[in-house]
Amino acid sequence: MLAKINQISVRQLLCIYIIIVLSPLIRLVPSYAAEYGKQAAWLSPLVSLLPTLIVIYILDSIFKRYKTESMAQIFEDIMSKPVGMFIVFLYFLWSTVLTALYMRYDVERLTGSIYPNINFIFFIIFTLSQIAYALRTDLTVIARMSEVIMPIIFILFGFLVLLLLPMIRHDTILPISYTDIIPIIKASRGSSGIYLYYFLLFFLSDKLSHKQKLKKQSILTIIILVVSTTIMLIAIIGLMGSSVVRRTPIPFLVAVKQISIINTIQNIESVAVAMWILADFILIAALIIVSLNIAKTLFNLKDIKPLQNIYILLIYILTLGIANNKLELETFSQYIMIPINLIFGLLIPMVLFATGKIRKKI
Amino acid sequence: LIHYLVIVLILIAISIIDVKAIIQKQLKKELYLFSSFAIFIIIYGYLYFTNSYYASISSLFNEIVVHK
Repeated sequence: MLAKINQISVRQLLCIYIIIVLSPLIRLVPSYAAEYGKQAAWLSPLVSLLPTLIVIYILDSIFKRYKTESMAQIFEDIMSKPVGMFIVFLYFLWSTVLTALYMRYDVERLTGSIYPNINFIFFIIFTLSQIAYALRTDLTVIARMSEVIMPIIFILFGFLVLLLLPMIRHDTILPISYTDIIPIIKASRGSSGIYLYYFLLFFLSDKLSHKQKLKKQSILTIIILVVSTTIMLIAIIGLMGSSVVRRTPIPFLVAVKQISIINTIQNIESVAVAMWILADFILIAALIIVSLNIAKTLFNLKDIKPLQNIYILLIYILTLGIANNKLELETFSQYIMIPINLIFGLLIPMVLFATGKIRKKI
Repeated sequence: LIHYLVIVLILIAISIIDVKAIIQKQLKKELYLFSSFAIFIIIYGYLYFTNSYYASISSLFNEIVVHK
């Protein structure tokens, strides 16, 4: 049983986590990893396991001491109020930019794959109005929705990757030697930057129950994600080769287009697009909830419901303004957002943990 | 600028609905944050719709970080 009616369990939060990382993992990681890791790129998710495990252990230690507080309150307690508030404000900006970024990626993918003649503004309005409607309810509704959607998305994803596996050419993923260690580490920045959204979700920690199961369930989740990403990279790079993958905007979609079952069932990329639409809906809704929850603690608000509609309008205008075109959006994502993700997802939690240990707060 | 005017009209509609709820509940801080968001939308929207180059967040950061 849940502790309170408006709380969600760690399992539900991890369902949201799997959905929200799956979409950016499929979009960004193949081309990013192939650019730096070449034929050894498929090993890069294994390196990303380490920073994510560090964050899991940090959060587990923090929640042994802080059982009911939100992450924003924890920051303020450990790092003093002014410093904590400043860092939490930076997290608010980060999650707002991420929301606009993923909203734009969502519509760019739709117009770039199956609806090339429709103005992307239509899709932004359509998606955001659906999210605004869904957010009239509580976080628990999104959490339960994620519990239903996550297995569907994961089965679809597994099905598509399995169909790709027989088409792999071994010469595109082998040989691998010790000279690939540095390229693999460089390539792992992409997947690490995305796995580390894990920390951002814990700004909902005040709405979380069963925190004692956090470490065990999180480790299991991250292992599942790492294995899935590795198999996906083997399938994509094995099929297309690293030099083609790094030049392709959405390699997964291009790879899926090549699937043919007994020469009769073809063009099943619409399955991948449907999966993405579902994942992006949860991703954007979850990021809006996280941002508003950060704002609630940061500004000491009593009720965030009246701010939801105007915040969604703000996201709409930021989605329009985040980039002039897709090339600009990809450059921004690759060169700016990935390093920022590593700072906010790994570096700041490590500083928080070290400060907590020094001040004997953890 | 028609698109901008439509956004401003939507903003006014949202304000009528949500500010009413905020005032009824006497939520002072929520009103300040609501006003800040509204001001940001009006200013940023104006910059974007008048084709100000630096209204694009990516252009600004890409120029500072990537092309420096």
